[in-house]
Amino acid sequence: MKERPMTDALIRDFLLGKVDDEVRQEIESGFITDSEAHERILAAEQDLIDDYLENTLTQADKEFFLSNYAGTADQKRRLRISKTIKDWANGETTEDVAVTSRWNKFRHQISLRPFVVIPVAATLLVAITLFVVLLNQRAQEKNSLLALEQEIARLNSPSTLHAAPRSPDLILAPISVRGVENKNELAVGSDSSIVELRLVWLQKEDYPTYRAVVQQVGNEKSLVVSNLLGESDSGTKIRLRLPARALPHGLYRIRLAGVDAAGVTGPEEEYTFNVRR
Amino acid sequence: MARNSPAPQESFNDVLAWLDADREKAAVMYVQLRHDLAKIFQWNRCIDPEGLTDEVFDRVAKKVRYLIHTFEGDPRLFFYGVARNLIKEVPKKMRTQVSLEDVDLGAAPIKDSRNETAELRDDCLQLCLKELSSERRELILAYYSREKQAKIDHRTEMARQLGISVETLRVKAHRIRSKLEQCMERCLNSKSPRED
Repeated sequence: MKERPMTDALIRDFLLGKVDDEVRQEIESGFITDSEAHERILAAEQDLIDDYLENTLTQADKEFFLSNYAGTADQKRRLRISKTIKDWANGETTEDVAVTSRWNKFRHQISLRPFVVIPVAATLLVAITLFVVLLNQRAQEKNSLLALEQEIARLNSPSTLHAAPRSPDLILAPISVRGVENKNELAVGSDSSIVELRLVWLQKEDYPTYRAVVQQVGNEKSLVVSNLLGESDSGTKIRLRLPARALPHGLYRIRLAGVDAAGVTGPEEEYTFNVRR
Repeated sequence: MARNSPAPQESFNDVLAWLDADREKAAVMYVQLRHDLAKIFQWNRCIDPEGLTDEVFDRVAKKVRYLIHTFEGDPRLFFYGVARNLIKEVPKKMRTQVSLEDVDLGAAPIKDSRNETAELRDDCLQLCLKELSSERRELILAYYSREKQAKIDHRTEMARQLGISVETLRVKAHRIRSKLEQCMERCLNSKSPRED
């Protein structure tokens, strides 16, 4: 028996019944004894099944294929199983599977290309890191702002103000009645922990409480201090205590509004002052 | 095929011993050989490939004590020789052509002895896919994701990216698909046993 290379074309001819007995026996004995040939033949058979399912066989080949591969219930079942797998891979099966397969296809396309996956992974890593850092920063800022507002609320509670009276560091009049704004300077020493402002309230109506919004000019962030109380000592003044650390060097604006018993906010007054450190 | 006279258990043990001195290896070879012979009968368009395979083993079993001492070479080739003789003896399939309508897989489900639906096959596929590693799942998905001409270029590109030959990729995909198909068959058998 003459040995001949077992090419894909020869295997396919064998599977389609197009080889003579001698070649057939060579291939069959190779199928039995040679594991490599065994796998190649079965892989070729799978390809043939796929070609049938893709309708790419010639009419003659299709008829031979059907008589050999679709004659029994088991063979038909195998064809259906093959079709199910192919449909899955082609995203043509049920919706859930299709969604999975499309996603897998995308993942696979990405995963198979190192020149794509490396920059994409690096970019994703950087983006995720930045996102996490940003989130942490925001959370930290939010927490520190919350802590500061709680501290300010405590500093301005009636009991604290009453228990620890102190002379004001600065008395501020609304800008509507001041000629030169930058004369209101507050010198904050390194040893200062609290500063106390007195905001002159010139409106006719007094309110049970006041609400101040303190903002450094040029900075979007602001501190909101509610439930401030007015003192009627030669006109109404509102005491506002702030932690010194909350006032870096710069120009500040305070908007102050009265809040009536129903919680309705009245017209605002505006104050400005400079912090010098 | 009706078996003439099944071989006794002692002969079966001798057959295993002839295939390999290690009984476990011999058992694996036996199962594989049965499968391969059935496949060969199928390729030769024989009716009842499983029954013919039984007949091959019965015939070999009757001579095995003699063969152990006389036959030189791979014992599997002797089994194959017996199979070839059987192929010449038995009639080929009476029905050499099957109408296309009978197996038109794109059409309505074909009735057979099992009550298998497309949904059931999809369910089994999903179950069996879970048994594959993600790497294997993605490989087989990519391998079968294209059809017709496009698949040739796609598989060539896949092989290039994986740093293997197209042939190696094909065998790799074949192994995975075989496992998947076997798993699906088991799954379908458990969910829709034969009625006959």
